[in-house]
Amino acid sequence: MGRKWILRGKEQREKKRIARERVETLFTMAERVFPYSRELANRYVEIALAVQQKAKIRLPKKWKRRYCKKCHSFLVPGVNARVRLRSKPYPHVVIKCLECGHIMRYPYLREKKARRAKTQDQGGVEA
Amino acid sequence: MRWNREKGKDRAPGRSQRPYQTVAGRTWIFRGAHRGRVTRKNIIWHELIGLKAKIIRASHPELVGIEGYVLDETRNTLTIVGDRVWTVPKDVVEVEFETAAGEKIRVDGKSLVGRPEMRLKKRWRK
Repeated sequence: MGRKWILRGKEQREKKRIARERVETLFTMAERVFPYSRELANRYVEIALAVQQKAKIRLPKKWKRRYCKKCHSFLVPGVNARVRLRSKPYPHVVIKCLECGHIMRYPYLREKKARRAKTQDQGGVEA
Repeated sequence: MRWNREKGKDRAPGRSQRPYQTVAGRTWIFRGAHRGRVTRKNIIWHELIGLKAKIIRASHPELVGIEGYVLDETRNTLTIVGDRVWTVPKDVVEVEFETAAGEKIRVDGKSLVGRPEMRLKKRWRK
């Protein structure tokens, strides 16, 4: 009985590892294929998201902002996405999908704070 | 569906009946794009898209010898791109995949039937 559960855990881990590799591959391919066929890139994103949901894994940080959360199309800044930094109410990145017009906002206050602390540290060392 | 060989594109008006034509003949896009560690054991659950594939055996003689990169996958078909795009049914063929490491894996297409995300859920080794 105990052995069965251990085996099962092993299986799960193996499966998740494979799923992670698949997501990585699919997004890489989407990036490669994008200049030639956008629909194919979107299809890869679709499969990658399906795999990610089925295997219950996190999407790699690298690819998290590379697709539209609404229409699920692959985004390339400057081609079909607009990326701007706004700092007024609070510092955030605004990504607009030019395919469907959906707007996504991501805060970067934490990064900013980290940088501030770092520069202060360095300043301290120099002084 | 008819195919205009001279123009190399579909004659059907309106919608494209042969999708992904823009990728045909540009197989170099896929070179080295596959990031997974595919082995003989885990290929059934792994990603086929981006792998090099060659049809070894098929019930239909014209399918034999098709070679290229796997472009798309549905429940029962593989789309393979070489100098043109083929759609090959899975359950009647035997495919030889070549991994990024250069290993060649022969798989009976019957064991690959299933949607790409559903194959992950397939029965793990008994």
